[in-house]
Amino acid sequence: MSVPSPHSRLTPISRTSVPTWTRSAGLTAGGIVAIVLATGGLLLGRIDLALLALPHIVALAWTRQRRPATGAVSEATLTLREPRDSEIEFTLAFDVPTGVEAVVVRSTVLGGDTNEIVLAAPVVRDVTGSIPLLHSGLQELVRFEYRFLGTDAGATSPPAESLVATRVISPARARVASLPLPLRLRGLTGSHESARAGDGGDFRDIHPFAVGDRLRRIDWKTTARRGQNPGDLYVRRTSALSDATVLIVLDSRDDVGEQVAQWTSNIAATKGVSALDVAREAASSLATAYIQAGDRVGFQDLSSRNRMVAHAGGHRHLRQLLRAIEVTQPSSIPYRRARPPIVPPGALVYVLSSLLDDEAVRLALRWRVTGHRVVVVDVLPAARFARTTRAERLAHRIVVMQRDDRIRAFRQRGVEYLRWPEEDNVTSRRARLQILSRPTRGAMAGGRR
Amino acid sequence: MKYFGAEATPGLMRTGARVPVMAIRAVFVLVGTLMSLDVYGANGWLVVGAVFALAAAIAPQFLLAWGVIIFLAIGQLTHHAALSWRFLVLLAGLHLIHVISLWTLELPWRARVQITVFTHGLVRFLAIQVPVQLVAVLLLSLLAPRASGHRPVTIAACAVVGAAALAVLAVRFAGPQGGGPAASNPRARDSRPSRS
Repeated sequence: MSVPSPHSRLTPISRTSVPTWTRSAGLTAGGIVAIVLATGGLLLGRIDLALLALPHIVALAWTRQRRPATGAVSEATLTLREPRDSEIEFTLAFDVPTGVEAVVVRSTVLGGDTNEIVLAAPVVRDVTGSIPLLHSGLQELVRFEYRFLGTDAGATSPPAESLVATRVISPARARVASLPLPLRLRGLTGSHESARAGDGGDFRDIHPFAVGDRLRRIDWKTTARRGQNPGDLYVRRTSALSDATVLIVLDSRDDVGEQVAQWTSNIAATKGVSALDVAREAASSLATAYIQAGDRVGFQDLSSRNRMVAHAGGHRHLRQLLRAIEVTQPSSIPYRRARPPIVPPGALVYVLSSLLDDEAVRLALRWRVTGHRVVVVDVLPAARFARTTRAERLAHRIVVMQRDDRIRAFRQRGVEYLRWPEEDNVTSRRARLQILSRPTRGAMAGGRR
Repeated sequence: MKYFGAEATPGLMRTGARVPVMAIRAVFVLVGTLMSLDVYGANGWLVVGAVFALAAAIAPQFLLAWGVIIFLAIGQLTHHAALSWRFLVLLAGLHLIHVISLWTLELPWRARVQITVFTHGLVRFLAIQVPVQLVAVLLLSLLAPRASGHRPVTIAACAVVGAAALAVLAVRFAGPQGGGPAASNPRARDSRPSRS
């Protein structure tokens, strides 16, 4: 299930160019060889030598006669289809000038290795292919660079302007059945039962009649059983309904993949599932679950001051939230804030981070100190050590130890912890969310969960 | 949408049958070696030819392929100029080396090539080779000296044929345009029937 984004339309990308042509050095060499053979045959009186020059002369004349016209226009068109089954289909078409015999196409998928293919020019129509969707968010899916070859590769054009397909891919969304709630629920509407007595909720308690209680709430059986004086009345009270305010803070300042060997190069094609993939999935899943439960959700991206969505509810707001989550990406400019983002009173704060540095933890502790319930969602995917060196494994171990220290420190200070990626040997995410969703009063005083 | 895959896989375009450029270079080495065998026979020069072809395939940018052609043409001088299947094979082989060299010069060595890229080149090769082979058979039959030293057609006969050809060309090109009597004689022009 994914929400279609404005970028998911069929938008052909076209490039028109007027190729300039360069004569191949091979033609010159062939011409020289033909002259040498013909001259040698003439001087030595060897007709066989002169005959050897004949096919070269004819071939060169043919190549010259069929050379591509100067000033002719070429057009390349790339069309992307709708994403389907974790891949996206594309169609590549070339409209080439007369005399072009082949198109050399170099493709780069997800910033990975290049792949070169030579296509027959007169039949370059609707070359199809597919690109695996390995990551969510804004990304360069594929880049095509191309150049033309004339008859017998006797003329070449320089590479034309690249065809680049950039798309925003919606993250996957997991179903969240158990929703942790803030310490205080606010408002008089919603779907969560608050501690206050009111309307809408389930049975709360039996209470002596007080001014303001409705007469139809009088529980006559209880009154008959408990009443000791003629004027004693008892009413059945129900809980009031309230909604929760949730702020999702996404730490998109770094994005490392599960392949530890790729942490330095960070190539999308080979790094595996990345921390931001997990973070986007977690953020969109939580946002969807809370909005569908009638709560208000805000969003804050730590790497950009522009990607902030104020808390609100409703489906239109959900679309706005999901869009903001989709386009999160690491920023090349570190954004250092003087004060932490403002959190609505009584809000539950989710901090989604890979916890590779102290910034997110520092903010989480600040919010916890001000009385908010804070859940740090660990989005660092489980490490894979394919093609790693011993030094890299050692460095990773040190980084993980520092990270564990951070986790231990903030848990001791009342910040809760939720690991989002599913792993085999750890409690499932569903179970962890159930634990976090239990009533929190009292337990939050000491804080460790 | 499930995007948690492993790694991007190469070969994303569905383009039908393809061959790697390395295979084309291997064909070049094979043709060069076979031509060396054809010209020089199984001796040390064959090894030289094979190494030459290999070097030309590894580094086509140095244009060594055309050096291979010269090398093979020089080898032809050691043979008697006569019509033989060996010469006709060499005639086709040198042309093939030229064509393959032009492609290997421009194709990236890691690329894969749609087989249909070579369709037009193959047709062109045949369109050139068929008449060239016929001309070679004809000329070698007529002009190449026999083992006895006898020439079926002498130089004098060639001069007569050449002069006749020149005369035909002169009449064809000079006649209708400016040199003919119709162009120089105004009366002849006036005597044409009126179109009205």
